Amino acid sequence: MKQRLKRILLSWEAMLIVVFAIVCVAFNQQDASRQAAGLSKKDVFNLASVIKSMRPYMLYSFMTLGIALILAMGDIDISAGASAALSAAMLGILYKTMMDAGVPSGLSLALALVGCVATGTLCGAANGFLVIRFKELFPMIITLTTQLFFRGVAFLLLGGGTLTFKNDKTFDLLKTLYNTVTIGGISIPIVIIVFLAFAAVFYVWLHLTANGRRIFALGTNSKAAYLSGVRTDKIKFTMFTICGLLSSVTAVFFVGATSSSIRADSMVGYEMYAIAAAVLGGFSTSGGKGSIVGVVISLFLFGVIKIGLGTLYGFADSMVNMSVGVILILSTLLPNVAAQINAAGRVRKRRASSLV
Amino acid sequence: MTAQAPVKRKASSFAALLIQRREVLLLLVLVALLSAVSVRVRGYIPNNWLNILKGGSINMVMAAGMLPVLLIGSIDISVASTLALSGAVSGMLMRDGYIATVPGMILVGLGVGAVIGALNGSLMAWGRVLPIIVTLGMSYIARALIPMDWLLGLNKISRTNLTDSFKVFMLDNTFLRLPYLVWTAVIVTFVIGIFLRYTRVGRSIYAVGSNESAALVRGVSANRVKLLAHTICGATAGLAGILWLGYYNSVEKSTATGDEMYVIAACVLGGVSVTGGYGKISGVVIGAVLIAVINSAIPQLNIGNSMITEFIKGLLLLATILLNVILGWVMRKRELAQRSI
Amino acid sequence: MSDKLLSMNRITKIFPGVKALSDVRFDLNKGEIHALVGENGAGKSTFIKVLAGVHQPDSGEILLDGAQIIMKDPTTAQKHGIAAIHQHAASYPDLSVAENIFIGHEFMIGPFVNWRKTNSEAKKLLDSIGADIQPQDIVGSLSVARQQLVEIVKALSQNARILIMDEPTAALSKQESEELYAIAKNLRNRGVAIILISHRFEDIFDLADRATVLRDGGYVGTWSIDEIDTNKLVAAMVGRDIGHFFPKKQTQPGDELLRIENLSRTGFFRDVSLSVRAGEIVALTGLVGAGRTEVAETVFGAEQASAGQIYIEGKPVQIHSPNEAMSLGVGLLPEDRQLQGLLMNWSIERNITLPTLKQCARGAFVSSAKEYAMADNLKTRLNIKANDVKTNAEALSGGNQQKVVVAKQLAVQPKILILDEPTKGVDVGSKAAIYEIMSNLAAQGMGILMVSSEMPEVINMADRIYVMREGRISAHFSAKGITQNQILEAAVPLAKAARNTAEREVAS
Repeated sequence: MKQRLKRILLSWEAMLIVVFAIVCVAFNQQDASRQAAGLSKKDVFNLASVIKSMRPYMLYSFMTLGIALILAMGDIDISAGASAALSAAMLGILYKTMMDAGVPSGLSLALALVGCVATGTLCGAANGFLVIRFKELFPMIITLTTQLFFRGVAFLLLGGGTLTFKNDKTFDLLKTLYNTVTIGGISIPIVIIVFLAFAAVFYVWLHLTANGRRIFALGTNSKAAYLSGVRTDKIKFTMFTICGLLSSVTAVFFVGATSSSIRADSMVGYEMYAIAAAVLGGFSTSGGKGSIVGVVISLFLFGVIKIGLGTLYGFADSMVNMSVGVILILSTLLPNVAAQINAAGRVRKRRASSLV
Repeated sequence: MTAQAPVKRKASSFAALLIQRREVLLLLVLVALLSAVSVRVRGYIPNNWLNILKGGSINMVMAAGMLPVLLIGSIDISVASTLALSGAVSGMLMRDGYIATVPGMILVGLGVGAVIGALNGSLMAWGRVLPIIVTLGMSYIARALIPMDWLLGLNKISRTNLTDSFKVFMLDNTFLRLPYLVWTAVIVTFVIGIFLRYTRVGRSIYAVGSNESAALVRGVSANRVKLLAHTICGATAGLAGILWLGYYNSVEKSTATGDEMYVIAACVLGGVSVTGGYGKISGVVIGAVLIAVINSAIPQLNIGNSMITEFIKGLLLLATILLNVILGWVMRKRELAQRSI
Repeated sequence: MSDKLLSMNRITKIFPGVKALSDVRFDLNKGEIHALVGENGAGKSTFIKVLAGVHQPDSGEILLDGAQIIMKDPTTAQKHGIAAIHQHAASYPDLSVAENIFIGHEFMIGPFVNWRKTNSEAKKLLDSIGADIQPQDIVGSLSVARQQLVEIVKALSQNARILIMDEPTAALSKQESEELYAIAKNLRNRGVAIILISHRFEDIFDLADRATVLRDGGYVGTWSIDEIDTNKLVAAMVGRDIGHFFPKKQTQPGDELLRIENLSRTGFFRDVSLSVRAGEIVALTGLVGAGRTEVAETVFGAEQASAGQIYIEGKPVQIHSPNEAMSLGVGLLPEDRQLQGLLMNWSIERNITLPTLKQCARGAFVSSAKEYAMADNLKTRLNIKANDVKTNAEALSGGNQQKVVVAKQLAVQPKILILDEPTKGVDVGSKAAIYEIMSNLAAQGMGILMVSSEMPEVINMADRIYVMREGRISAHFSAKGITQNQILEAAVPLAKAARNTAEREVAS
């Protein structure tokens, strides 16, 4: 029991929470000192405002869950942003086409949403198919090329322009996805609630079920897993498909967030944010490890850092991006360095004791 | 290059040639593409060969630098950001009057790139961080530096910020009808090719990629080789930033976004193994030319608007890569069937 | 003795927590092959690493030609003409033979490598030991045996006087081993001294002039090879007499469990037919590369047959994946336990339950109580030596790792168990334990197909023996009264065998 407690306290997730707390406290201090110096009239870094400002940084959270699954298998998917863009394009085009054909608007939107999710799923399935069929090629190379392809199709569909639906009451329903609901006096964005529900499902699936165990086995040693009866191809195909599906969920929320304007070059770099968040959450590109809890914490951590740097320090987007890069590198560098120091210390200690 | 080619005594058919020398397949694709475009666009090659070379030079320089990185089994996806940062730094120095000459610019570009590359390599070698993580993070960091107040801020580098001597250097100065831009690519490719093939340090790059632990035993420090390979890659990306400035006369924070893909694609098409150990500069050259031709030819076909270009580029890249693999299967099957049992 | 080349006295090496070597001595004469023998963990590899300069001894002296030397790093050892050849030979599989031989010492013109000269010098060296290898060949495309020859040539190119051969024949077929023996003898005649480390007693008795035995990091003794036999050697290694090394139980074979008819896989094997009955141990032997492992993998569904039919308990079946094979009651212990058998950084428990997660589940969830019970039960049954089942697989000895792989298969409760080289790289003590497990399983009515190239275990453990030669079954024997020669005759390709004998005559 004691050992188990120790393991929990020393876990990556616990460290993330500590970092999260430190960042919050630091930002709070800065907020207070800014108020004291008369730089701002009221506190801007409070729970309510932070939760509300979190919205733009939660759009790629669904995609992050998908990327996490791919990383757990030791693969990578660079096409997630592109398949999201294609899904969004499909959403707009389907809606427009059906409206033009005189289909009732409610039905049009419902069908368009189905089409959107189906498109993302298909993109993922295409990746999955190529990955298991062409084992000589790495998922990185495959998804590097398919992302060009997906975005190309999106460009084709949209003819290079922006698709907007102004004053379309039905399509504007999507905007409500970007709204907040008030629970216990705090207004919580719908996107966070939906994400937490997704995350809970994925947590249970990945960490508590037999299937989840098999995914990690595949990521640890795919040959040994295969010879242990794990259906590796089926799992890979399914995971890539799910990653595509989750990308299209991100697309739906993105369309809602951007006031229903749809472009082929939207969500560029989202896959990088997603990979960064998943890696910070404890997943590794070499596979076999990571936890959904870590991913949830790291997504919020990223959000808080971005909000804090932006509102409290007046840093522009680029500085925020830079912090993402730094965090990404540090999140793997620091544990490695700590492990090396630890190992060196242990050797020295043992040597000292054995020579006595 | 004989020592690199696997000697298979039996294989003599054309198909066997194709699979043993991946370059041949690529050359075929290249010829097919060129003839297809030539049928539709009269005088395509005579009118465009120079543009193809010019357009492909920057990618070629970066791909040549990417080769040693892939050879040690690593990867660098920060090259496009490095290009932009190097262009921004050198452009700013020229704008503010610190540098006026071409060699100065090239030195700054190489320097900026080498520093980023060395940082990448050190983090991987001594920090044990995975290449994709390091360079993904670095691509954010390098690009985020550009709009900082002490660098470009909200401005961008444009024609008016550059000296006349610099502007004419890359494109207007020619030797044997080729502009210096193309010659730079030729020289970089040649130097890296000779370095990898004919020097001990170059061979140690192949050695580390082939077997990292054996390299350690033999006294070649794998960490130093990693550092070297990434420094070379960074330096070429930095140089590419200067070439970019010379070619387009402008650099801003979004310059060359996503171009690392074409760099890696040129290498992969050229038969470079992504797991390290195997790859030749000649393959990379053909891969880079193929991509340059695709980039130049597709818009000229007038198939549709410019957006369709992206689509067709993606499709062609994917098709060529898959074709390569499928051909490998066919050959493997033939070889198995021929075994006497 | 005047021709004493090397002597190492009172070598002690302490690692954190363990005394790896204590007071070990060893000497080596010019033109001698001296075997270094011991169980896994006896200290052989530490000892070799001390000699090769990888580890520095905490006390003791190394004398070369009577002069004391401090072996401070591998480069020093290399300078003194000490070279090691490892079991998995290829140093740089993507590079050419010439480059592997001369790496770091290529012939140069100014700062550039002179490939023409490098290749021609490599060719000269290869010819000098009679190796038919082209300097331009890519080393990774050569057989392991040829890769070892390249390593030997590399050692010679550095003027090695002492050659350490670490398990050189572990991955070689009989024929390849004999080629290597011939070359080793040739080198000995040229005055090179060889330290031979091997698990195979055949190697030791065929080649060595003397043998030194280590046990638990200590020195046991040195014997001339004429004054010791297998039993004495084993006794010295394990420190006790192994009476029942092959605890074969007599069983009455039952119903036919597995039958394969004319099974073929293009390029690997053709028209293979065999059968395994309940309670039987059937050996599938032959040279490495004869197609045995491929047959095992195909029956297990990891590879697909191009023709032929598999029957399980008389019913024709199609097996497309290991998953299907397991549900049909077929288990496989793969050849390479670290790469194919285990998830090394997972606990024993998780390794064991991976194929049977369904049985350990409560609904969709994995039940840790059920998981623990299953793993702990098998740990006791197979006597896996570990603190508990939460221990990681990588912390176990080779023999215990192998037991975990067996446990994993047993959890599925197979009717047919295929064991691919079950005792490869396993120490003598664990070998006996694994043989005992096999006997017990057969006695309980399981059908066992054992792929093996170790003649003693084939002859002593099997009821029937199939021999493969170049992708086909070449012979089928009952194990009663069979001799090693009968099996080898069926295994060695005819034309090559004739050529081989001729070569051996020339060499000796």
